[in-house]
Amino acid sequence: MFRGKKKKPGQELEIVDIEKDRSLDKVPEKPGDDKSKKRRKRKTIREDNGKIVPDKGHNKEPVEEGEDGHGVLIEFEDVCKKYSQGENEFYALKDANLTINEGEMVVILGPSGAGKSTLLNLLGGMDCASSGHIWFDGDDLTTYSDNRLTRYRAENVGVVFQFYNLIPTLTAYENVALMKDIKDGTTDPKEALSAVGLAQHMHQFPSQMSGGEQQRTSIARAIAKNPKLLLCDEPTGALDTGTGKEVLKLLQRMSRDKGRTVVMVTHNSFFADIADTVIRVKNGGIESIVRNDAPKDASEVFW
Amino acid sequence: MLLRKMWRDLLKNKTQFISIFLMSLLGMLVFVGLDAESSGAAAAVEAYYEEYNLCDIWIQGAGFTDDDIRTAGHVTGVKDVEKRLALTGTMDMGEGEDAFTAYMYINFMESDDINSLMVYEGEPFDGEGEGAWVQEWFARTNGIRLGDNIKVKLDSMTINAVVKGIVDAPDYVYYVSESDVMYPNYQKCGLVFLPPSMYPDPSRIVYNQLIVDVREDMSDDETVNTIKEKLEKAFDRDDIAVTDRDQNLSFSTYDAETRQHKAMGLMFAAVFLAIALLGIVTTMARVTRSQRTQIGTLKALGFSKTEITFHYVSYGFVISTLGCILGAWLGYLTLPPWILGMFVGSYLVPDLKGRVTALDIEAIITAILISTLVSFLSCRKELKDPPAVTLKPPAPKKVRHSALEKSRLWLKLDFSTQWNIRDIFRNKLRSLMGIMGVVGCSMLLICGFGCFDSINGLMDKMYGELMTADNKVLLSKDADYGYAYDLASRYKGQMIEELSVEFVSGSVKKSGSATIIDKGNYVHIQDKNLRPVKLNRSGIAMTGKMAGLLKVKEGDFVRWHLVGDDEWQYSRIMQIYRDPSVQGITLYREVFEGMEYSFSPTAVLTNKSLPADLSDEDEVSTVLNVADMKRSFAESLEMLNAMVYIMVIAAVLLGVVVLYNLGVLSFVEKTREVATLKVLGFKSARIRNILQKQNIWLTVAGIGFGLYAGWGMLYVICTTVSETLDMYPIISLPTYIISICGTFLVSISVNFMFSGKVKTIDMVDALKGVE
Repeated sequence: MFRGKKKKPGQELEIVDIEKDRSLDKVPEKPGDDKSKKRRKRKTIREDNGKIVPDKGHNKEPVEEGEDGHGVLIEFEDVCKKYSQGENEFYALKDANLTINEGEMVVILGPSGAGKSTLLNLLGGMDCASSGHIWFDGDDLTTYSDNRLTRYRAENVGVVFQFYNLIPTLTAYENVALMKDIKDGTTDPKEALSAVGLAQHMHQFPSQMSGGEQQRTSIARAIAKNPKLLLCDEPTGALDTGTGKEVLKLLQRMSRDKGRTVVMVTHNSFFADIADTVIRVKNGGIESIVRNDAPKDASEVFW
Repeated sequence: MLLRKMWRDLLKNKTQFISIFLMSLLGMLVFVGLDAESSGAAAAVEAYYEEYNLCDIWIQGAGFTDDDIRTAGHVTGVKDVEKRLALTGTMDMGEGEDAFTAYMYINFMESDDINSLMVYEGEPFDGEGEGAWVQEWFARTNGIRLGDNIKVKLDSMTINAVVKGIVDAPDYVYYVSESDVMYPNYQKCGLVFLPPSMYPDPSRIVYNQLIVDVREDMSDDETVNTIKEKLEKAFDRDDIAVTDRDQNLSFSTYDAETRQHKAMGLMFAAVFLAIALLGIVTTMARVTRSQRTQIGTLKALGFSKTEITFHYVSYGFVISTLGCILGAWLGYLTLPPWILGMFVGSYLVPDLKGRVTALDIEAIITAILISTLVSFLSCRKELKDPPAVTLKPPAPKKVRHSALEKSRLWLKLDFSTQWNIRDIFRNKLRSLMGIMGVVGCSMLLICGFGCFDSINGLMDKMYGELMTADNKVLLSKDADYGYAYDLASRYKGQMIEELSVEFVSGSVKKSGSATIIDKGNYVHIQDKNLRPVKLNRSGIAMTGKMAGLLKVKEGDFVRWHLVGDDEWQYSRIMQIYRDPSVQGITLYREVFEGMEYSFSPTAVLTNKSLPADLSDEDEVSTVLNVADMKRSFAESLEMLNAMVYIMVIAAVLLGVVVLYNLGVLSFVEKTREVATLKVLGFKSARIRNILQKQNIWLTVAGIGFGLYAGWGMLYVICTTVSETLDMYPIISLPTYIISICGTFLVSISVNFMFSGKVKTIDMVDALKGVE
């Protein structure tokens, strides 16, 4: 909260906006002071009621307020990620605005190179935005120092990678137990592994396990630290349909039964059916954000 | 858990880490071993000097009396003074075929408060009684026991004495007879202490030495020098030479020996630790590079940069700590007892044992710190980016074309040459490490075998080029000029006179020797480039080493006088020559007589075979046979042999470990490339040739540097041997051949093991996805 407040004064933000305006001529414009007004307003609301009114104005598809008293966990505000190579500039993400509510299952959809991985990296604090603000639980991630960002990852984020990214020299149990080194109050590794149905393979090395087992280990590792946010980067990308479905079920259960916020990145549009919210990404921008009133069960999805 | 990951990683990359471990271990083993040994040796002798009160200053001259003792005693800082008569004589030892004449140092003295005798058996020294106190080694090896009657020949006189004590003396930890040159033989060269009453004519005893003990609080080098000057002034006699410990053969030889060992230890350690560091750099860079995704994952999971850095740095830290500490411990356990064991035959010092010094601890800590720092620096690269970047595979290395690749020549080179040149330049560190390993290997081989060559060369020079006679007849004091002349003409010999001289130039004062030669063709001199030159007939020639000590050059003047004579000479140095073992001046008899000295020969050189009973004549002190001298010399090279063994073993170990490590490293890195080549249809044998080619290049380059480095190391060893020995580094052709072939053998056979694996590379497996 403290760091988030520090950058709040409107003056400073206006300067940022003007700069942005210059560099982003193709992006649809919103007046700078309009935004800062909104932010001040939302801030007030949050402080007064403890309840958050999401910023709806500039989204093409309106997003409803968090259901069942769940507040907003994450909010992206004009977030850009720019890569420079000499004179060439390339935007991996342009003016992204979105909100993710607590306990939601969010699927970020888009073709390769659309910017969904960038989005995920920014969400997970694994990369820094070039401009804009990323609010997490009221704090602005973009103002975090390296160390603070590391702490954010350690305490709030669990990541599931496409290629599992287990430490090959550690057993399944040890890979999960590794989390004890970075956070207090993690789930017992045995319990976490049982939750993903791997209790009997606990002492195998990644190389001795199948892809699905490795991915489940990876999920166990992610949930062991009880993160507020579970990020999954193409979690089924390297798995066959059957195994992939098991993984999906597991992730959906995490969201539905345990009330975790799960954000999954994929290029597979069939997965849109199981999400509470579907965010479509295209050419580095948010194409649409759709609320799914009746998400399907993971077992019903086919691809 | 990260700790567990570390152990598993270490295990997985065991070859590389073992080689780092071994290099740290060897470096520390040799360093701590030699340092503990030399420090222990220095400490033991220091304690010995302290307890048995080694004098600080020697005054050589003629006819010292109790008045002189009083004169010296009045000088500020002087604590105690004693007078001695130091002579040389002989003793006939053994019986029948084993009979030999021992060379004897004989000391007559009234007391032993200074340079006290350490009594192993028998009574303490009694200056007023009768009897003889014999050096322990000499007594033991020749079967002399307490109560035995010994006969010591002193020129024409014979002293009969009963052995009262078996002793050692602090001023004789090292001494050599004239025939020993450098390595002592305490069985054939003895030491005996006698009270004045044992002198053949006690009333006419004339002391030739004063030994001076300086007060403890004034015994630092500078104060001793001032006291020396004061003593010279107090005596105001030109026929005396005042010397301190550094000019004493026994003290300075031992001192130089321990210092040389320390320097060798440092040199060894530097080579091994440099290689250990290179190993850490290459291995850690490789480990972190191959674990890039893992690093990214750890970061994404929320490990901080500090934790991850700490994790990787601890690899280098753990390995070098294990290596250094185990090496230091092993070094301390093995080397001091072994080398000090060999001291026993060369130096007469009691209680020799290794000692760990603060320096050793510092060296261990420094080595560990440097290793840790280096592993930090080499893994830092992969740690600086945010996790999103680190999770992705690294951007391909920027490929820059070298100047060679742009030139036209490049296109004319065949594929394997191009491939190898690129490979070497893109993996500079790895190539450098390979070269370093080869350099170390060939350097140690060259230096080790070069030590043999240099010693043999020294012998050949001394007894083959500079002195070409087969026999040297040492004359006793009873021999007059007529006797020497008769002997020389009977055996077609050459008369020479060898005297002790003191030189002064500016503020530098050195003792040396003067060799006066008569007509004949047995004595030759060589200039500083070791080319034979003719000794000039108009003045003196000085050895280069002495000239260096006196800071004079050809054409300069130097003041000198014979020890025991107060006539000072002021002569121009007409020539500079080199002599390995005797430092001083050489001049013709005519020049010597021109200075109004009378020529009284002390030795006759001849090639004729001499009658066996010649040495029985009163006028003859000893007959030295050059062939015998060379043989006994060669037998006494135990210490040198040990050093050479260490070097050769170290060389081979170094070569094998470094090259093996390198082989693993480059093989792993090249697996994909090699598999690609195989897929393209290259035969295994052809690929093997390509790999071997690079190895041969690096080996040739390494040997090139190694030859220079080996020569340099040998040069350092030769020039630090001692003040009196002017050794030239000599490397013979066989040494070159053995060293070069040996290095090649090590390099190629290690490489062969790896290139053999080319066959075993499974193309399909090796080309499967990267992670």
